[in-house]
Amino acid sequence: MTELISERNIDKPPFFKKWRYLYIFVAGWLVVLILLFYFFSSAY
Amino acid sequence: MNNLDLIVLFGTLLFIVAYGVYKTRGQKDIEGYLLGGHSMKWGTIGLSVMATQASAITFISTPGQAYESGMGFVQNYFGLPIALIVVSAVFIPIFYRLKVYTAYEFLEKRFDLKTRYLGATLFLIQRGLAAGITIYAPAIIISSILHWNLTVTILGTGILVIIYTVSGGTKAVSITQKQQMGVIMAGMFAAFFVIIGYIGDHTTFGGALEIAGNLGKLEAVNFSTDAGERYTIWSGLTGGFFLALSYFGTDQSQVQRYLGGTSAAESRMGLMFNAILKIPMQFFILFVGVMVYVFFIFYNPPIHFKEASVDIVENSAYADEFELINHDYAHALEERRTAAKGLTNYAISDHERTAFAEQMQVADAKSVALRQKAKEVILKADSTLETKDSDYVFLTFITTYLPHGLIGLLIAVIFSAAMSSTSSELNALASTTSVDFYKRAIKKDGSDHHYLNTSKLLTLAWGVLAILFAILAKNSENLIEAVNIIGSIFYGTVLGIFLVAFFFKKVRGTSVFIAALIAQASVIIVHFMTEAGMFNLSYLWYNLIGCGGTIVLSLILQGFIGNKKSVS
Repeated sequence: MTELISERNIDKPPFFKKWRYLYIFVAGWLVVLILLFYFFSSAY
Repeated sequence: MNNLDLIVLFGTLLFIVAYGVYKTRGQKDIEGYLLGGHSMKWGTIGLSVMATQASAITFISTPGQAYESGMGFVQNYFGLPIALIVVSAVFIPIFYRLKVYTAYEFLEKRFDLKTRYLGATLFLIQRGLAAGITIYAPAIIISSILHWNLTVTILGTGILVIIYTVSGGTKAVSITQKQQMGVIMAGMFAAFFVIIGYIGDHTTFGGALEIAGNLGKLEAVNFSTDAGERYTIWSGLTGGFFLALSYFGTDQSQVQRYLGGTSAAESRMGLMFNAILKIPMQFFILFVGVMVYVFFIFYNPPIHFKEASVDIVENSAYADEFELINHDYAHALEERRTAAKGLTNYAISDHERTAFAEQMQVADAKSVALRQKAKEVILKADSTLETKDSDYVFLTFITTYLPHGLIGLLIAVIFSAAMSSTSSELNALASTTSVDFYKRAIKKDGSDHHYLNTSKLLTLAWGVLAILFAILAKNSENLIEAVNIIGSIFYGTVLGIFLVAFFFKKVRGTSVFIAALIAQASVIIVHFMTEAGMFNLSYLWYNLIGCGGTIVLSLILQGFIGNKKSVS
């Protein structure tokens, strides 16, 4: 597990400081999409 | 289709095949052939992963599904971004660290040889079947609508794929998928704007949305907790998560796409690219289907989209009955059109708007009921006919209403999508057979050149098998669902094995092997009980049963076997 964590630190993602931040962004994007779809469905 | 369409169609397809063969000529080693020499950047990986998943069925069946039941299918993809995060955070670092060619190699390193064989075998069964359907699905519909010979269409698609997949391996698959995704997105956007243009002759875009909304076609999120409902946010988040986790984490046709990256970071970014874009893309394709529905409110649709079935009933003893239903249908369509035009007239009061909406809903329900009646008459004329016609809706629209040139481009979209998925499947089937069985069990000390030639021969063999399966396949009720159901039956068990491998370190090979066999048998039994109508369960839950069953049983068995060993 320690090895994995160190590998994650070496492999940095573009645009974000850590992979964790990118994952939070992707999860947030999913929530935004679901909300948008919900409001879209409700509006029509 | 005229000559311009044929030039666009064959020009596009032949260019992609020639480009793939040219750019990957002279493959010399097995790593280059199976993993693309670890030369791919995240953009190529992302498009390749997306193109592998987006088969022809996606572009034929998905708009048809939205035409029939609205936008609800999009919920199936809600679990996908979370699954891709797990694959990126847990699976990819381990696969890269162990330098594996296939996902199943990892199972031997973690458990034992028999578990590796089990994982690889389950993959070969379900992906081997799916590869045939991937070729067959578009071929049956295109050949029916364009009056092409079905066998020639299947052979044509299969042979084109085999040429560049055998020649260039993984790299050819990935770089052709970039071109194919370009063709696919260009074609879908062009079709969308043409539909909006046609609708614009009768109402505004806002009016089209109002019509679709009043007919319940825009309900993209369903919070119902009824397990029998096929698409809800809960089944999408849970069942969809497990389906996507198994597909992206354990299906070699996807694993091979991202293992070709220059680094683990490129592979992870490729998956995150998909996590962000996949749901909007599916939403767009479904939305195209809904707009086709609105389009057919202003332009009369046929009562049944499968022309061949209509021909049969019109030449049978039931022709008069069918004609009568068709007459009532035309009347219902006229009522629906008048109400829709009234609804989108902005100079009316709210009270009048409500009245028009109700009239439109009543007329729409009447037209749906008459379509159902027509299907019953078709069955009376020939009980062997397949009456589900939603897969024919979008292609009927394309061939009837799109301008020449664009028809050729849209047919190229369907073939490109079929070819991109099939090439990934053949590439992965050959890799698994070559690495997990041939190299591991039959010839362990061959040269690099020997394994390269064997992999090429295996790709050719799987291609021929897929073509034969496609030629022998029978009509499937709903093509996109047939592939998803086959996937769901096997994916859960394989995912369970991988999750035990990653997260339950005390569990050993024998426990997980027996647990996986029992879980797989249980899923198959549940599927047949559902098919027999003994209970109502959405197929997405098979993933959960297979996965959960494997994990729980392996923990119980490990406890039992572990205790027994310590006693002895």
